[in-house]
Amino acid sequence: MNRTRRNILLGTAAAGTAAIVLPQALAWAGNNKLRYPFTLGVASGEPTPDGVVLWTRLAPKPFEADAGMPSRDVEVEWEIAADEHFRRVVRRGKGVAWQVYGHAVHVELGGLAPHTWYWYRFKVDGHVSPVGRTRTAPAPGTSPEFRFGFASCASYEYGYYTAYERMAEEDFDLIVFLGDYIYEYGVETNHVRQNYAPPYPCMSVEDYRMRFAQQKVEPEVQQVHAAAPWLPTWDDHELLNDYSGMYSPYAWTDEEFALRRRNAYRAYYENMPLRKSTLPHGIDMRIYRSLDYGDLARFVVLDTRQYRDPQACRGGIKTCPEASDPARKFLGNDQEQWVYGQLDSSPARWNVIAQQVFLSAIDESAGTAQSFSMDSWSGYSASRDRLLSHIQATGTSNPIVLTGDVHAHYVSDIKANFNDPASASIGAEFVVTSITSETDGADARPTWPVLQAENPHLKYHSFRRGYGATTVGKDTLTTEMKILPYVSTKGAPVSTDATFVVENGVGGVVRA
Amino acid sequence: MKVKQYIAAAATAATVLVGSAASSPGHPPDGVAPEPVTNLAAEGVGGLNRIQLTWDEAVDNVAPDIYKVYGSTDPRFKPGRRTLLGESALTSLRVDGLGTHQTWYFKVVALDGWGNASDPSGRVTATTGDTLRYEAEDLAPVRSNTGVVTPNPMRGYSGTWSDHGQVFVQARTAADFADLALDLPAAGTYEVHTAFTKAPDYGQATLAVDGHVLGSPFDAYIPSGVANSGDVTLGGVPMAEGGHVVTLAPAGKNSAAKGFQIGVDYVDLKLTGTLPRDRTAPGPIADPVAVSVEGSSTLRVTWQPATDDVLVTGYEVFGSTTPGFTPSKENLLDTVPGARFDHAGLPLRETWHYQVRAVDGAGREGPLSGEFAGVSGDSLTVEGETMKQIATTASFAIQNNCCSQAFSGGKQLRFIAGKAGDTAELEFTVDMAGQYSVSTTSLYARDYGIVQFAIDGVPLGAPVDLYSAPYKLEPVALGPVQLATGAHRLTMTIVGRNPASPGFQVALDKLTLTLTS
Repeated sequence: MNRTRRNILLGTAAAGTAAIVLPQALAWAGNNKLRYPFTLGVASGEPTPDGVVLWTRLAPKPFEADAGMPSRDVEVEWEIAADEHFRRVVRRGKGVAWQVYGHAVHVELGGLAPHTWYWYRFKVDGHVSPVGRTRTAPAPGTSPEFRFGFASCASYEYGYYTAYERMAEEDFDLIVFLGDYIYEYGVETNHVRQNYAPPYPCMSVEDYRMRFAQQKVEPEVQQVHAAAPWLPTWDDHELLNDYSGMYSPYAWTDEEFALRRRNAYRAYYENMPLRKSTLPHGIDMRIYRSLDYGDLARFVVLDTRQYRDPQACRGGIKTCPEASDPARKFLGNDQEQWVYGQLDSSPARWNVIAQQVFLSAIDESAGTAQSFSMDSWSGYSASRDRLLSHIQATGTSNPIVLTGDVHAHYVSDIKANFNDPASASIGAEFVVTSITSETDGADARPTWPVLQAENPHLKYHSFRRGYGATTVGKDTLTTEMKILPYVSTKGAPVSTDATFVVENGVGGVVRA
Repeated sequence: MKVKQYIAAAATAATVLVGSAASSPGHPPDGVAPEPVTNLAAEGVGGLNRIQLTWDEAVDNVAPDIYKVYGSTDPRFKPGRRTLLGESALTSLRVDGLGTHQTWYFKVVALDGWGNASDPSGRVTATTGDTLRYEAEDLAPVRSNTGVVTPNPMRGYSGTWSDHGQVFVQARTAADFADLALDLPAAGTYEVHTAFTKAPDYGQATLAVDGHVLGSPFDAYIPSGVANSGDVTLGGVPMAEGGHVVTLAPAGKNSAAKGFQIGVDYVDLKLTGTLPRDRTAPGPIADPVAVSVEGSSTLRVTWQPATDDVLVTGYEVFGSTTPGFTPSKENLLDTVPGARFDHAGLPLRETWHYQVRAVDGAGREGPLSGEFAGVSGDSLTVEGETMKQIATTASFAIQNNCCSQAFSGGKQLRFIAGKAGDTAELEFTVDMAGQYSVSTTSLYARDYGIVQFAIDGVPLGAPVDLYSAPYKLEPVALGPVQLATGAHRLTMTIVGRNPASPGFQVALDKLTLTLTS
């Protein structure tokens, strides 16, 4: 209980970690051979027309402070093939599992063919990893139809990862993850299962590594990574609930929070198939980036956590004039200008903004009073106004926003003026429910009747668990909102609860 | 706050470096260490036992990642594992928990993301002040009569708590209290300062050290909002090195106040002198009583503190079930720093006889109090998490406090049932045969089921629906049962679930058995 705060500053974190190290023989003892190190599976990500990032992290004992690895760098072989049996290996080489990065391996490959499926695996010390499947992006100037999945919020405690399993079965070309891949909490909820690694809130880099490992040893998590390349961004729980920039809503000194932020960001890099251009530097990690899928789609991936000011009016659902102060930072100036540049230079028909929190204004008060979530874009509404004004002024082609965070499906038209239902629809927002968070859920949240009445731009809602599946074509972008009846036990089937179509050149959604 | 944005430069540099063919095990793509940290400065913080270090960001070919701060009271110290004081991801670190009037020497080492370490910086020095600061939220709660003392880690209001946190005693009556443990590094005479939180539902707060109430009660009532009292000087107290008890308790409340709660931001101990030489033994304690604690068989022994020419360092509590007993090592129950002792784990309705005396810093003993007695209570509490698990068709888990609830003993037993018909059998023991009234205390949650309790195979009371959307922790009276001395079985059978609940699991915080005849 008292393993909170301050302990991390004066070196007791190491002692706390050591306490859960079991007295077993070292993995690197005697015969100098590693025990099986691919306990966390494999992954790929960041596909380009000629390349992809391959990932693994060596962890013979993922729940020990050193993950059962020796105190040195380890060379790892990789190979990538045009078939799943590796009869047609197209490239092989060696990478390094760097000790200082938790023995993570990030191989940045080039020289591959566009829009092509590949299979990859790693080898070290006679051990062979599971096989992952990945696909490069289509070449510039081409527009083949493709299909991506999107998801968020995968609390371990709240349920089983059946939604990941169903995503792995979908044949997606790409999976976009919108944050809350891990939750930093200790054992403090009362749900389907309990955090065990570590059994306290994450503080040190070793703690965060173990929390990632707790997710990644789950077979469904390994399956969904092995099924397709990922394009992930984070939200708050990869570090701390509801943090904003350098502000923690909890009793941390600035120095304590900064150290925790550095530890969390570092572990995130280590555990995701990211490019080395994303390498963290102390408390900073540039994760906003873009990725093109031929001429059809540009994915603009945002980070709405790292650069934002604290929530207005101390957070919550509020009527809060401070929220519209134009001086309040949300994306931060550098990212905001970068977003405009990405939209302006985009060759793509569909501009998919993958990010964390509700962009559409969602009034949560019945009647004439209005209140909004201070954690969402509505708590920084001038930033939203600037983005939407830019989109309208420059004529950004088909803006599509992907959102996570709220553990429920919503589909919304993005309005020129959210207070005027007659104003133009300038885009569409697809808010995806959680993989597990809030367990089985229900058909609708109790608040839905009010939200529906107050926000005519909201077209759909479900409070079940699930994910989104979007087919991107030349003329239409079709999104299926997938739901599962339960995650409190394994094995749930998936169904399509609703399908929405966005037509090229037409703002807003049409239910199919 | 110094938050350096490295983004633009770093991204470019890292990309180039990783392209280097030279990287191989032991040869990272970046082998260049940061340059030594410059402009390191050290300064005492407001007379406290804290030193604030600041420095300039290290120059590196990519970017610095983290800084390690080394220090010692020995000016010839070398940076190493034994002199590592902390790490910082900023260009500053406040070093806490030092002694008073100490001169410290510091050096800082910068590391980049690949672990390349700079040479140590130049050495700086600073001296601590005369005041030991304890953040109240960091003092460990050791005892309270209602289990409602919580370190409050939230940034609770727009004002500032020292280090953003307070300790919060959710007192509901003037009889409530919370004891917190404080470890003092050096003996001396200290002037105690604190800061209280003020709010409409806050009472008249007192703070005692080792049972001595310092100053007069602080009326923390304000008609609206939340505020901080600012620094309040409570008075001086001699204190020995080692463990002490800080007691927070309401003396009463303002007639306008809506509650008795207490919030404390910090406890400052300002060193005003050395401990005088102890020349005389402590005086007697006064008004000793032993009272049973409701809902348990615990006897709580309390008394008025003894006086001493310097200080009382502890109280020896002797006890026996035999009246007229002679206090000795064999019947010394405990030596406690404050004027309160909880005698737990007693059989029901057992009479205990006690004697208490004070001990001072020179090891002198005060006079024995004379014998007084108390009878332990009627109630036996069996914690769910400590009951012997006999059998289940599903699984058990022991869970720490959750869901904004404080479980008895800080834990509950979860019975993770998956369907109606799942059963769990637990064992408990009673030492005294008789008729008991039985109650269970369980968490209600939005995914909990309906449970039928039974003892020794006989159903007790009606099925209990543990579904509730807001969490709550409540006792349920199950009725009387005749129990022989020895082991008994408590069975939980899932009989269904509320239509609103998605789950069948249930939990047991504690079983309370109250002897009725």
